[in-house]
Amino acid sequence: MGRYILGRILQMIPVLLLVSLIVFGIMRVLPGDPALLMLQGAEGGVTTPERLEALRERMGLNDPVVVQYWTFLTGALTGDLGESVRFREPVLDMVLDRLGSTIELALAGLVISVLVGVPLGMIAAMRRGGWIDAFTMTFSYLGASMPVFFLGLILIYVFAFGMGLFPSAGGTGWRSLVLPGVTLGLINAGLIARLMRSSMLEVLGEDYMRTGRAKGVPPGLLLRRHGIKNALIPVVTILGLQFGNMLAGTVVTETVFSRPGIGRMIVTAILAKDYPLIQGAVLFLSIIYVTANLLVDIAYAWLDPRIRYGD
Amino acid sequence: MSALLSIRDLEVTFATEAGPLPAVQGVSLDVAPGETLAIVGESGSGKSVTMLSLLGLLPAGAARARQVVFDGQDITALDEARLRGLRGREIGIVFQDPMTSLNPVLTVGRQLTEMFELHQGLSRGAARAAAVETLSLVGMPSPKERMATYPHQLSGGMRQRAMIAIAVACRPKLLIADEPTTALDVTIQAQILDLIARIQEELGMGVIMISHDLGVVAGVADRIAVMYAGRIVEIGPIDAVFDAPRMPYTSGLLASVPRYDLDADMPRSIPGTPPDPLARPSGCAFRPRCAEARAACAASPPPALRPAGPPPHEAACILVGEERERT
Ligand SMILES: Nc1ncnc2c1ncn2[C@@H]1O[C@H](COP(=O)(O)OP(=O)(O)OP(=O)(O)O)[C@@H](O)[C@H]1O
Ligand SMILES: [Mg+2]
Repeated sequence: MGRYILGRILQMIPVLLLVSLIVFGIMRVLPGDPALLMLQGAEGGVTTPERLEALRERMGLNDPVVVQYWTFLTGALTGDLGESVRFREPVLDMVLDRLGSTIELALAGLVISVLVGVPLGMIAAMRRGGWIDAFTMTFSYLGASMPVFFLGLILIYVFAFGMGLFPSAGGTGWRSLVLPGVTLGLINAGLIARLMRSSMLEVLGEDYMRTGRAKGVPPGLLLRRHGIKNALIPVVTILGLQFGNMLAGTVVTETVFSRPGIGRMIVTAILAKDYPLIQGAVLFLSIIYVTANLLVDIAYAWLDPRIRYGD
Repeated sequence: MSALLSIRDLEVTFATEAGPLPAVQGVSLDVAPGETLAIVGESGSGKSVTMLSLLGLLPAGAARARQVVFDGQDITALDEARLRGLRGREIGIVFQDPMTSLNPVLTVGRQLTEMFELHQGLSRGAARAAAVETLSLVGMPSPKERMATYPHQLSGGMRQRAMIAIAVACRPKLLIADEPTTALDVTIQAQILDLIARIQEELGMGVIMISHDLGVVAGVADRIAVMYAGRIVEIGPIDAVFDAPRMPYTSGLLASVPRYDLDADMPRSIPGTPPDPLARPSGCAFRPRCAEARAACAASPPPALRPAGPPPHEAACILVGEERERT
C-alpha cells in the first residue's frame, strides 16, 4: 500500500508540470497584449506607451518565452505568483485567503452527493422497478439537466426567504454552508445514484453473491459485507472526476450565494482581466483537483485488493 | 438405511420472456449418508438448477416438489430463515469457477471465519483458529499465512481448495460439488477430486458430484444419475451403469469418453444437440437423436423412475420394458 501511494505521488509531478505549462500558456495564447489588456482593465483605459512598456518590462513580457516560463515556474515553486494587477496584493495571499472556503464548499458538496447518491442508488437497485427506483432515475436526470444556479435560487427562495432557516448569502460557519453545499451536492448526487444503482445491480448478479447466499449469510449482512464494497469500486473511481465538477460548480455557487471563495474571485479576475490572479487561482484549483484524485486513487486501492497488490 | 436426502417429483419452471421454461421436469433421487451420487448430463440438462432448488436459491416460485426430505425433515415446508440455517451448515456447496465464486475484496480468512461466526456463534478468535484448521484440512500449505491473502493472489487449484474449505467448514452432512474441476487445469483436477473424496471419508458426508465428464465421476462415485432435458433418464450403481447402460443416451455418453486402452474404439460424440427447453419433442426428449427410436417413443414420455429400492438400476426408456417382456 505504501509503495502504491508513493508511486502515485511521484506520478503527480509530471501532471503538475503540465498544469503549470497550461496555466502559463493561458496568458500567452489569448489574443491581444496582456499588458495592454490589463492596463485597460485596471485603469479604465488610461494608457500611455511609456506605462505600457514599463508594465511589459515588469511582467517580463520582453524576455524569451522559455525564460518567462522558468521565472513563472520557479516563482510558483517558491510561493511567488506575482501581484494582482487590480488589487495590488500578492496573488498567493489572495488565493490562500479564499482557498479554505472553496475547499469547504466542494467537500460539503461531495459528502452530500455521496450521502444522498449512494444509499439512493443502492435501494433503487434492490427494489428494482419500484417507486424508489423510478424516483432515482428521475432525480438523476433532473440533476444532470438542472443548472446549478437555478437550484441554488430555488433553495434560497424556499429555505432562506421562505422559511428563514439558513442565510441566503455570505457569512461563515456551518449554517452558511448548508444551502450552497446542498445545491452542489444534489446536482451531483443524481449521477452517483445512477452509477451506484447499475453497479449494485451488477454485483447482485455476481457469483460470489450466490456463494454468500449458499453459505447462509442473511440478506442484510450479505449486502453490507459482500455487496457494498464491491459496488462502491466503480463509484469511487469517478469521485475524482466528480470533484472536478464540484470545483467547477463552486464558481457558480459562490457567485449565487455571494461566498468569498476562489470561484467567485476567478469570475471577478476574468472580468477585470487580472491575469496574474487568474493564473494563481487556476493553478491552485488544479492542484486541489490533482490532490483529490490522488486521494480517490488511495481509496480505490483500499477498496480493491487487486489494485493494491497488483503490479 | 434411511436416506440423507430424498427428492420426489421436483419441477422447476422459470418465468422467462419467451414463456415458462421447464428446466427440471419431475426429478426424484435419493442420497444415502456417506454416499457419492454423481449427476451427469449435457449442458442445460438441469443439473445445477436441481441443486440450487434444494438450497432455495432459485427465484421465488420457480421450484415445486412433492417432497424434499433432508436429514429426516421436509424442507419444502421450511421458511427462509430456517433454510438459511441449513445452507452452509448442513449442506455445503462448491461452485464451478472459484475465481468468480469467491468475493474478490475479502480475504480468504474472512470468507471462512464468517461461516463459524454465522452458524456456530464463535468469537473472532475462535473462528480464526477453526478457519486455520479447516484450511489445513483442505491441504492449503501454510494455512496461517493464507488467511490474509485475497482470492486473486491464489492459483486456481488453491482457490478451489479455499472454496471447498468454506463448503465443509461447518462439517455439513451433504456436500454438493457442481463441476468443481471444470475450470481447473487437468493436472489439478485429480488433486481436487482426491481431496473431496478424502474429506468425505474423514467427515462422513454424503456427496453429490455434478459433472458433464463421465471420466471425472468414474473414479469417485458410488451411484450415477444421468440427466437429459430436465429429467433423470438413467440411475444406478456406477459399475452397473457403466457396464450395461440401458438407455441409448447413456450408451452415447459412454462412447463419447476418450479411452486409452489400445483396442478401444475412437470416441464418438452423440449426433445432434439437446432440444430447446421451450420446445421439447413429445414423448421421450432424446427421441430425435436416438438411433433406436421408434414410433412408440413419441406417444408418451417414458415412465418416471423409482429412485430407490429394487431394482437399483433403472432407465426411463421404452427398451427397458421390451427387455423385461422378453425375459
Ligand atoms: N435463473 C434462470 N432463469 C431462466 N432460465 C434458467 C435460469 N437458470 C437456469 N436456467 C435454464 O435452465 C436450464 C438448466 O440449466 P442448468 O444450469 O441446470 O444446466 P446444467 O445442467 O447445470 O448445465 P451446465 O453443464 O452448463 O452447468 C437451462 O436451459 C438454463 O438456460
Ligand atoms: Mg451447471
